[in-house]
Amino acid sequence: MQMVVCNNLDKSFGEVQALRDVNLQIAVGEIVVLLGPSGCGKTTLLRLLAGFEQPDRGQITIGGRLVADAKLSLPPEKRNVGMVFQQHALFPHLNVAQNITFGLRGSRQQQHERVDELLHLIELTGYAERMPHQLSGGQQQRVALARALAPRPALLLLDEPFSSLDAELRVSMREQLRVILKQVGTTALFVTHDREEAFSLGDRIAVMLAGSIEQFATPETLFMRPINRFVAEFVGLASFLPAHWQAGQLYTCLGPLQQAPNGHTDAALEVLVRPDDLKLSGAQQGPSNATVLQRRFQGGEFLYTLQLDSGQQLCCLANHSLSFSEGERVWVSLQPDHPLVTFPVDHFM
Amino acid sequence: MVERKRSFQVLPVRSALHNPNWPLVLLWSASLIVVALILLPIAYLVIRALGSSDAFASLSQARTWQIMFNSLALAVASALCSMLIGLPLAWLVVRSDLPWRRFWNTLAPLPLVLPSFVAAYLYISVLGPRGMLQQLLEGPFQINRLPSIYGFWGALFTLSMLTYPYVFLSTRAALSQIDPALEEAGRSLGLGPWRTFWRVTLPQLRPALGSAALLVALYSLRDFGAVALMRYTTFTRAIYTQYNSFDRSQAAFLALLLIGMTIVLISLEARLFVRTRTSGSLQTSLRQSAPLRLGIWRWPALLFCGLIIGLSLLLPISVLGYWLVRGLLAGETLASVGSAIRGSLLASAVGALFCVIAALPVSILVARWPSRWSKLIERLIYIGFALPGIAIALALVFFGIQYARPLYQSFSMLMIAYTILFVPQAVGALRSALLRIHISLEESARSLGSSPLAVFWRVTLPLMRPGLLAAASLTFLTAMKELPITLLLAPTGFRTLATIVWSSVSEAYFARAAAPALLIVLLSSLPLALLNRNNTA
Repeated sequence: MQMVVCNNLDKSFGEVQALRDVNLQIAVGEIVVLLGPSGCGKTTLLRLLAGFEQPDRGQITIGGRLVADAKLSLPPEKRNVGMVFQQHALFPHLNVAQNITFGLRGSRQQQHERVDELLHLIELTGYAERMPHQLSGGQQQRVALARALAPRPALLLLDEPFSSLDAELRVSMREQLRVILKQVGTTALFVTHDREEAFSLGDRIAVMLAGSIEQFATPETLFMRPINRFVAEFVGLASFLPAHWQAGQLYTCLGPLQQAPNGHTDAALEVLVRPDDLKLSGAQQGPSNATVLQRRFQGGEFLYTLQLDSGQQLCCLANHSLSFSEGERVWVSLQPDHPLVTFPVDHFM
Repeated sequence: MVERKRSFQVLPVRSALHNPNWPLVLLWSASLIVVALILLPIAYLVIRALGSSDAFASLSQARTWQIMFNSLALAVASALCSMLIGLPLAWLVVRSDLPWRRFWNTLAPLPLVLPSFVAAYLYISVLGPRGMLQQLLEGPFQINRLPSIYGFWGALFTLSMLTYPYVFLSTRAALSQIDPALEEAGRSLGLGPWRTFWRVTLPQLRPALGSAALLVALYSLRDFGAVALMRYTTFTRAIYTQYNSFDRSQAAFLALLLIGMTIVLISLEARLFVRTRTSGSLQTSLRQSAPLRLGIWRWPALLFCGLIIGLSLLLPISVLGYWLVRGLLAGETLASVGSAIRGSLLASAVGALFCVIAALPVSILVARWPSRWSKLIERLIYIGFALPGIAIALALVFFGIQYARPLYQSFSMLMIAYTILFVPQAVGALRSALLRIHISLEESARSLGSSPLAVFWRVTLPLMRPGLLAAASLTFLTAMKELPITLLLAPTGFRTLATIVWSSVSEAYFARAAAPALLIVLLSSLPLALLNRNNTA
């Protein structure tokens, strides 16, 4: 069953078209992440769902009810959609408990129980009387989450909620968040420009660019079978090797591949090469075909940027025992353990 | 605040730098003189009130209590009215899709340039007995009596029209600083727009509203011009009449009571409205929320804005124009105004100069040598805000007659009074100008070999020029509108525009008051315009 259905959404602000023909379906209980560079329209889509903006074209249904189209827009308070904001937006004049009960109806007793339940969930039992400014950034964010969850919304929207936290806190917060959301069983839409955040949180990820959804799939699919170069580059380090398809064989400048191109039958192709699809060895034992341009030590391994003799640049991951200095000659070869993705050359984004 | 903390940390280094601390000694002595000057009126009023036996007896008089009640009633009522006008006006201008928002936005603060006695004079000439409104109604409708404008309602009306801009301005600023996400959070938690306003927006506005309301209450409590012309007996009017009837201990006692009440109000402001802390993340990229659609409500809203702007601005201005033309047609000459212009300009300019000179050492001490003692100096200076002009005038009259006969009714005495009245605001302006100049600039000049005095002359003073200009024009502007001190202390025959307006209106020569009133408004709004241009540039 679908909780959210967006059909053919368009939205412009003056001259700027923020969304074009966006379609999105979210199943009940699913966590979907909108991933994209800043200004791609992901926050606009979120605000359309929340009811702070109205689409120029298309329909939005939430829980089977039409909430917005070009003519109608159900006000935010009638949608049963919760939202967690970028800067928390906790009410500074209310304490934690008052913030959480803000959207609650019902008896005092019921409200009190709900607060206790939620404080337990976000592991802030005993903080009910604190004021927002007495909390750390991470605590504020958890209270904002509890406040949004309190009225049991049909859909929870999260607008880059961790962008104001420092890197370490982010990692632990997103793990907690996923546990809490799955525990409550909420349908959630999470906006971010951080791909790690997207990968670890989302059941499915919608990659957005310039107002459109480029690809909507599970994290594995996005990484393994990106639909185009933009998605491939956005979800991870990617190099593209020129290749051509001739007489049933796929040739690259690093030798032939034992696979067919996926879908495309054009002669001129590009092969997506992830850093771990390459094997590196020193040149002392034999021939060399590349020069080390740059090396970055990452603890367990080195990430090398290589320049092939053909002029092509590649990123390559190598075990930490394989240490080469910049300028050194090396031998690099393609050794994928899975079929590689190919794109036609003229297919720009 | 950050700047101040920084200068705290720097303190030990600085004291070491200034080894033979003669500049500091100089600063301290100058500041102490200014503080003594400010405390002089209070001290003298206390002495005077204690010195006479019947002063305290007057506390048991019903009349004293009546005066106190009148003053309080007017202060509270005008604070309420200005909120009822200023808050919706600001909300409409900032957050709704009201037509002609920019127009209302520009006009709404303008009544601030009207001195209270000018506004009162204009309203009386329209709404008073045999005023323009009555004459208009007399012919066709045979209405010969209008409800009297004199008393509480007239004073309240005049003061509300003059003071709602305080509430408007501070609410407008507060509204545009609220994170729109707060209201959106309220909406997404199931509250309609109206309830969101009450439960989310209004609590955020409370500090701004509260301090503006207290400012208005303070204005009403200190005001002399409007209540005197509207014949409503508050402290200021009672003090003036008692001074004229030579019952001076009684006047001194009333002045002390008035000072006490203003001090209570000011400390209330400091206590009650400690700003509610914001969640600390609001400074980043403030989106403006979409204006709320008024729908059918736009018509009552437009009517409201039109009524307020009409009554507070358009009516007084057109009436002023009317009297001006009538005066000119009746052969009023501007010649009589000539000496008053010179008097006003001279008094305001010299007063502003005195104030800035007096404020300079105090503000340097407070901004650059923060310590418990300089904090005390600052507090004592700000007591000056609690001193109503009439109380200062009264104290200096006594003091002059008793101890400084040659100063009594001299121009210098007038300047001393102006300095006492206006030095707190000059200190405020200079202090913030100094805090904006980073201390490292002065320190680098020291390390380049300049003496403290040279640093002040070559670095600090040039950098604080905008602040000096602001302090001077602020003082000039308020001095131009000052009435009670000038009335009581000016040398015989010395006339200013304000005193001419006062005497003409007191004798109901409305046409004669028009030209000087207009000149006051023009001359006092000129530095205001200058100030605004400097701020935006």
